[in-house]
Amino acid sequence: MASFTPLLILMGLTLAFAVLVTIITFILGPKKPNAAKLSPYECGIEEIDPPKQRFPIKYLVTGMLFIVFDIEAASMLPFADLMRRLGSLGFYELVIFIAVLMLALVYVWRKGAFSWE
Amino acid sequence: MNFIYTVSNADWGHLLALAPLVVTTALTMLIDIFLPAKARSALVAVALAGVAGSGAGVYMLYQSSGNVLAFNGMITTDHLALFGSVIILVTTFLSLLIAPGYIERQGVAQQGEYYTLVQLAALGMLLLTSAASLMTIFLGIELLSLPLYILCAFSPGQTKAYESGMKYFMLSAFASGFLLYGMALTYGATGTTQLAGIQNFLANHQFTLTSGFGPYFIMGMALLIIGLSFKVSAIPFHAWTPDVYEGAPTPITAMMASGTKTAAFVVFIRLFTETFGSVTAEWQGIIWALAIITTIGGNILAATQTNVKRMLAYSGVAHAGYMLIGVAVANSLGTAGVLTYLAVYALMNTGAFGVLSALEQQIDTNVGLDDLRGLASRSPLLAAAMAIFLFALAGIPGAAGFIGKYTVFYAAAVSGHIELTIIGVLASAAGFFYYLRVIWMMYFVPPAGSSAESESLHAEIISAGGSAAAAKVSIATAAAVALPVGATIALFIAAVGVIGFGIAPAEIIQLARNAAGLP
Amino acid sequence: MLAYTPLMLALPLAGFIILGAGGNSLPKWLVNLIGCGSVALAFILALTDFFAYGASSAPYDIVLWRWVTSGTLEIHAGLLVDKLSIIMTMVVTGVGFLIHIYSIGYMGEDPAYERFFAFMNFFITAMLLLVLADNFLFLLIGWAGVGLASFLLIGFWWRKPSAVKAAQKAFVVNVIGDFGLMIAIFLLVGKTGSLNFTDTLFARAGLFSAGDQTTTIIAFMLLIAAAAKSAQLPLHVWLPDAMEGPTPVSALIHAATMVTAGVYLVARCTAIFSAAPYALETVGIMGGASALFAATAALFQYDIKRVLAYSTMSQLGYMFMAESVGANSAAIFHLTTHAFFKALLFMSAGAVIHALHGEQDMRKMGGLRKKLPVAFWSFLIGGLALAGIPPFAGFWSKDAILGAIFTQAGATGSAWEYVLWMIGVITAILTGLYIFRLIFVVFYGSYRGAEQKSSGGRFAIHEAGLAMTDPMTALLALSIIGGFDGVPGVDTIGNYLQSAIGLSPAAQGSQLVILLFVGVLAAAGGIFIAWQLYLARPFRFTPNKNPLYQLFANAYYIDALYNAVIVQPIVQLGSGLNTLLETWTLDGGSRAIAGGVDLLSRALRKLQSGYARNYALSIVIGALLIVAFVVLNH
Repeated sequence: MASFTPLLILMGLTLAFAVLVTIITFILGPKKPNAAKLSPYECGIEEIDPPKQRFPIKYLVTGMLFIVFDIEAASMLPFADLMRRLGSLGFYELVIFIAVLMLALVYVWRKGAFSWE
Repeated sequence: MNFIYTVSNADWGHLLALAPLVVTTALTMLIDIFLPAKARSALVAVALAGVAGSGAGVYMLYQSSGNVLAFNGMITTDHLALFGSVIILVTTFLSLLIAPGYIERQGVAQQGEYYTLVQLAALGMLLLTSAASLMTIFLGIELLSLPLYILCAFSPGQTKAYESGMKYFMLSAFASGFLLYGMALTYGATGTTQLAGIQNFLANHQFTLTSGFGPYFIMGMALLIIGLSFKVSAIPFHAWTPDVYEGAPTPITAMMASGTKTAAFVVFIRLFTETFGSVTAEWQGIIWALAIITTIGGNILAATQTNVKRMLAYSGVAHAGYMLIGVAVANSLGTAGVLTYLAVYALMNTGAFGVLSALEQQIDTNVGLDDLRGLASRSPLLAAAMAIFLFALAGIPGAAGFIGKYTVFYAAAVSGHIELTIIGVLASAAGFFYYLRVIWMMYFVPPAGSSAESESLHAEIISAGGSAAAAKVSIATAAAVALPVGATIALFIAAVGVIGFGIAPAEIIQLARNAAGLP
Repeated sequence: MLAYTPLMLALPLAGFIILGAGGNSLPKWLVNLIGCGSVALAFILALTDFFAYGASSAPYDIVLWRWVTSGTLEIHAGLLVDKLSIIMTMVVTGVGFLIHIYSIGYMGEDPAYERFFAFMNFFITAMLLLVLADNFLFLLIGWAGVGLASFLLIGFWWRKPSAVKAAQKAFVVNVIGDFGLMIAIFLLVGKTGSLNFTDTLFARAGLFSAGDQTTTIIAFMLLIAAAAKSAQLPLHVWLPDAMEGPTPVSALIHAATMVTAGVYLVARCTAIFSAAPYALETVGIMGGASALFAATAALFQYDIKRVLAYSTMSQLGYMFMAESVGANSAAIFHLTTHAFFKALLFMSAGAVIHALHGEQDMRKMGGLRKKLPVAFWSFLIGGLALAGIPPFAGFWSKDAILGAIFTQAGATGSAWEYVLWMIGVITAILTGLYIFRLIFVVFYGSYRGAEQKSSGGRFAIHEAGLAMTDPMTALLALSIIGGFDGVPGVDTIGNYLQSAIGLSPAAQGSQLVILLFVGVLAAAGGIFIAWQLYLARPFRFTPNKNPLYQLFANAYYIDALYNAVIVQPIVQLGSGLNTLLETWTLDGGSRAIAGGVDLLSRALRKLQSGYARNYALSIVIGALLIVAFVVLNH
């Protein structure tokens, strides 16, 4: 029983933190409810259009592009360090990896990521 | 720490089952962006080819001998993994066959994305079955979950679909937290993420479970159970199942219901029955209780449903309970039972959802019990197929589902857990009724509006069946159901498989036993 | 020749598949040919089996294919031909065939004619599987198949709500039986490591011992199964209602198939029952109670088929009584003769109902002797056979049972078995009474129903066609001569069955003569009372407020009791759970809001947004429970 103590303390702290934060916000936060705020996915503003429709998310596309290049760079650096020890096999692995990333790039490109409007 | 693992050529060979699907996933994306919209029919063909290719890969791996571990113990291609992979591939194949007609009907424009995501989800499931390390397990779970979140919400303009995707995402992320925490504790206690390493550690370090790192390990196991129970939708971690199944496109529901379940149960077996096999006493009780609650609760909840998709969702919960019985007995016999069950379940469940998807093409909304009225006179073959699948799911002796139940209950009976057998038999006997109610609706109740007299009869049945739902009558039900070619083939394959496994299950049982390491 | 036995199953199965899949596009004569022909050929195969098996005593096991493997345990899709299964197959296919022929006439105008024959063929297939299976698991398939077939056939006229209810009831009770059988199977496999009859019942029968608790549980589970199929107390409730189905179905259920399954199972599992303490006694109590219960319940029924239904239950009670004293062959003997005369009685009841255009109420019959001579004579012979008047079939078999019980009682000196014998005699009196009440009321006196005019203005009550009367004639003959294979002292059938299920105790010498005399006296006494009450004096149906009368007429109110104690609570619980779990707790008000109902308060809206949170909460609670369990467990 006693041996679980550290774990239980940790779990208790986590739980207490979550509950505490909720309670504190509940107590401290100003409450001026209106219909828009009470809707499930509220942002505090009266909705202009019904929210249930697809809309372009340019920012997300930019984010995806960032990931493509970021991951590429991130995995090329360690490869550079270990190139000799990994040998040709490692080289081909990296080529395949980059090819997959290129595919993603082409995909978002064709989907119109680079034409803003 | 200076650690370098150089991948050998042999390692790559173990990816034979995954590689074809990776290639065709990429291909699907390319076709989607480069070919004109008219060539869309090529998408499903490519996806099907990928699944077939992966199937061939599984077969080659099955034929090959030698070390099953690869990539420094990250991946295994033992018979357990291959058995699970075959089930997943069959499910995916059938789901893909059903899909074209369905998503056309639902007005899905992004077909390329649909097929890409389906293949990615299948890849995740395959990875999960072959995972031999905690890291790969988590990778597999995420790889199968992320595409499924999107796919659940794929039907455009349907509130239920958004609800489905959102709920699945939120709750799944929540449950993943438990899983990850469990992995972290297990790793912390044993010092390795490789399952073989953990198994060795448990065998060699008789560390006391009550002091030192022992409690961390035990807690880790408990949290792993919670995380995996969510994926197999065991009660009380099941609440998402009906809502998510209901809102997701039906081919996806079919794939989720048996594919995810298969992958999760393979992990269950690999982690608990195999890796934690030497500390059975520490986890058996929990799964024992989960199995009982899930078996009984699933059947009770299913019995109260009037929406057929929700009914099947809850019946899926009940089936998860039966399978958990196989895990709870904690030996190879139980494993063989679970695997046999998974195999037959994949066919009968995918088949039943396949029939529903065909009906939904016609009715637009979800299929209620009333929409099935008189189906036998409108579409005799479709009704016959549904009857076969439902009989199998009910586990009527002689049908395929009975074989699954038999192997699991047999394992429980001879392993000294006769109480699980009795509860399982009792629950499945009670479960007959809600399946039979659907069959009754199809065969013995005339289509809506055929006569006033039948209305009163119908009310009689509804009240006799214990549900007081108002009779919702859909006008479209009077017409015959048009069945696309793909769905026809899928239903045919599933029906033949179900009948075949019912009549001659010896081979599949033998394969499952081999996968479980039994003679 | 025995190797052709699988064909016996395959033929009706093929009939079912053909008629079920494409029956509505076939001409009627072809439907008849397939439906009846398949069963006729199966009967011929059963006969060839009988002659091919001859006097052999070794069970002939036919392995069709490897079905389920579990390590050392291999269960085959296999058939076992021995003397017990041969007798059973002959009854099932022979009487089944006659009922099929009868159905041609009886169901002639039904729009779902071919579907009826498809189901009937399925019924025969399932029953044959049940009696031929060489292991418990394969038997279970037949067992469940029979339950399913009865469900389909009892509910065949699904436009009648009462038929639907009866079908559901039959299925519920049958599932209880299936449950018992399944539990028994898993216990058996755990105990003996096998499920094949050759292992469990013949070779390893020594594993079952009196002191062993598992053996007792297995026996009682098997007993639950047998009671459910054979409509014995307290699982009998489905049988009286089952006559909501078409009359040929009633005949099939009551005579050839279904109800005999329980008798067969107990006879087959003698090794288990005789080893388990209390099991055989319970069989006897159940059989005796059912015999007496059903005979009294049959006394004051108005529905012609309901009388016969209770009579079936009562006669099955006799069979179980016989089995409880180890007189398996006497039970099987009574099973065969009962199949003959009960099928005959149901067919003639069907002929009456057919002639009166669906009228089943005896209060609206009467004086039909002249109008329906064939039905009358069939009823008379069948009734004499049922009552146990020599030389008709029922006399010999009932006497064999009563003699066996009395002899066994003498041998063991058990007072309890004398009581059983007394119950048998009292039931015999009641049997004569209720069946001749029926005959006198229906065929004598004057017609009490509304005048029925045909289009020609002629009185429309007419005898049924040849398709119906021919099988009745055949069964008439069998009801007369069918008992001669069990004449005391010779007992051909008993000796025949000895190698399979053992020899029955039988009365000898002067004791035999006295017992025969008592049997005849009991039956004649019953008939005499019936004559006094219903024929000798002018008789009218009047409502009777006598509590005992009401108790009998309502079958001891058991249905009402079950309804109040079991059915209603479950229904309430089901709908309550539905409301609680689905609409209320989980769905919250969300669906209502989606429906646009806007009078809901802000509180309900909060519930909607907290919808997924509730799910998460259930995960948290589950997780906490598991964590608590783990912590407290160490």
